[in-house]
Amino acid sequence: MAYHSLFNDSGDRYRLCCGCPLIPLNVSSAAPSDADGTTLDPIDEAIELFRPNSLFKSFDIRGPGDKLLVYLILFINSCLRQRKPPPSREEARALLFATAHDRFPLPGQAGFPLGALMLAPASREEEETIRSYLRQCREEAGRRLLERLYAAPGAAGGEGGTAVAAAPNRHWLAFANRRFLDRTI
Amino acid sequence: MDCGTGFTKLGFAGGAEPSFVIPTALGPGTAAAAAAAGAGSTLGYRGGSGALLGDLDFTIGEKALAAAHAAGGAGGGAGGGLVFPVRHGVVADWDAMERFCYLRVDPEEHCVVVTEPPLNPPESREALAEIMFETFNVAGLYVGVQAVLALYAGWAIAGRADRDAAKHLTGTVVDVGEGVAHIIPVVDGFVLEGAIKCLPLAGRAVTSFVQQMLRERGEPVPPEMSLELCRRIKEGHCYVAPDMLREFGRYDKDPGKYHRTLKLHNPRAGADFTVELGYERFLAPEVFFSPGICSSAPQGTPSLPRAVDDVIQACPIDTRRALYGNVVLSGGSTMFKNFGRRLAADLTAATSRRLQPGATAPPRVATLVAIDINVRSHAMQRYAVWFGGSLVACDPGFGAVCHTREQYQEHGPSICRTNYVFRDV
Repeated sequence: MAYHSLFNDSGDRYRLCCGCPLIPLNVSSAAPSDADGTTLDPIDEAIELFRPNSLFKSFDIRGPGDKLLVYLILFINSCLRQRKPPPSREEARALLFATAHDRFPLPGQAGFPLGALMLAPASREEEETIRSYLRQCREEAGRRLLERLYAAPGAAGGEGGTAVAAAPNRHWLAFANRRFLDRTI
Repeated sequence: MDCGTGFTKLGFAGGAEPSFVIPTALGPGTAAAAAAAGAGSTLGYRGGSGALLGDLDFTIGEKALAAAHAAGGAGGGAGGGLVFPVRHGVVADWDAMERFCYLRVDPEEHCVVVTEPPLNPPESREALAEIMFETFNVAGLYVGVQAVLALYAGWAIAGRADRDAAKHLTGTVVDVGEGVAHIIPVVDGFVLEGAIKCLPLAGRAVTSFVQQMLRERGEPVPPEMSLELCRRIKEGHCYVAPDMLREFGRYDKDPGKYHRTLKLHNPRAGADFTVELGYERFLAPEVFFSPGICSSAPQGTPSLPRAVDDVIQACPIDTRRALYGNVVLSGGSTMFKNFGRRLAADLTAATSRRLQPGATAPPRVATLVAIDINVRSHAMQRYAVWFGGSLVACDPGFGAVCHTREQYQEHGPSICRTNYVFRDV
């Protein structure tokens, strides 16, 4: 049974935009090992649940939090897939930044991976909101993913940039070949 | 002899362990010399298709037979023309079966205990009787259901205190072998056939999961050694984690403790290679508890604890507590560390979830007694069925229930349709 998002129940607390909850991200904390429930934000959750959920063939959406989770998991997957020759950390950072800010399809447009799960934006400002939110999510996800991938073995999270591995973590890269729900961004 | 999907366990009554464990397959091979005859030879059959080289002695006719019947079943052995006499627990090719049990033991003086899979048609039993009596001319035959024998083994090993408390020969047998997992409820020695459940999750699924993960990660495993290596990894390094998500976290925090490196030698190329083990150590046995991760399991396959729960719920209501209280594990694939504990934990969660609404019922309703779930794992788990057969044959009451050659000659194979389970032990 796949693991679902914690934000599914608290759908009332957050403003829904195109069916996606706009949960404020923890921009200040960069430690992925933050297990405190109150400060867990959707990016951390997506990174944590990426590995177990990628293994499952099916995933039922139980709420708005799950929609965001699925989107982020697909995004993380696409990031991992770009590393065909595993680049160094600097190259990876540049690559991820470029990907995050790339033109990406919005809900309702052709090419949006979640299809009809997220509604098309109703107005111009909603469109702007969702675009900026998704872009922010992608950038944050890319940044934190970088931390996880290039953390040196033995460094118990939060150590910043003191010990860095040269190549990305192979065990993470192995998940690049898996297609979550058979979709790609 | 207890033929399973992966291995056939052969041995003599009174032994603690089978004398030989041979992969269930026919093929050209070297002789397996049988040990000296014991007091009563116990040979049991059980259906199952093998996947490795058999090393039994065969005549040249055998080779021809093998080549002619080169059938399906997962191949992978280096020898060509492997025959798999048994498929999914039922003997499909009786001819091949016959050759399979040509051991250097003189069967005429011995009684034979045969094991049969659940849901075995009586015709199969009769055919077996025919082969045993006509071809091998055994002195006696007893056909035992695998589940009951496994229960017998578990019961016999349990301590003195448990012996009086536990319902004799009542329990749920969770038999996970190489090819298929069976969940069989037995009440007072009788199998409740309507409630039996079969799951396609078993040893082979676990091995192929390990294989898939290694391949995805790009480990330098030479293809011809792949299956064998994965099997060794599975048996040596895999364990069951209490929770998948937390286990990932543990691996992240302390990779040195969990990741392992194996240095191996490739005999064909003569080169050494190293293989790193990571998440598959706990993910592979996780297929039993979260079948969604296994690509070969069809959609909607229940997890093992869920299936056990369903089986027990399908049984008559007055037997359920006893069935929960005595869940016996048998089969090689239940040997993973913490398997029993995880199964018990998941079962307890499932039953308490069901009892939850009742707990808030008005007090005039009978007080709720929590269901006591015991998953019994014991030292002989791997060969539980064989061991059960061995014990049965040693039992003093055995002579009475065994079908003798004289009876066969008089009445024919139909006498083997019924086999009594004796209880006055």
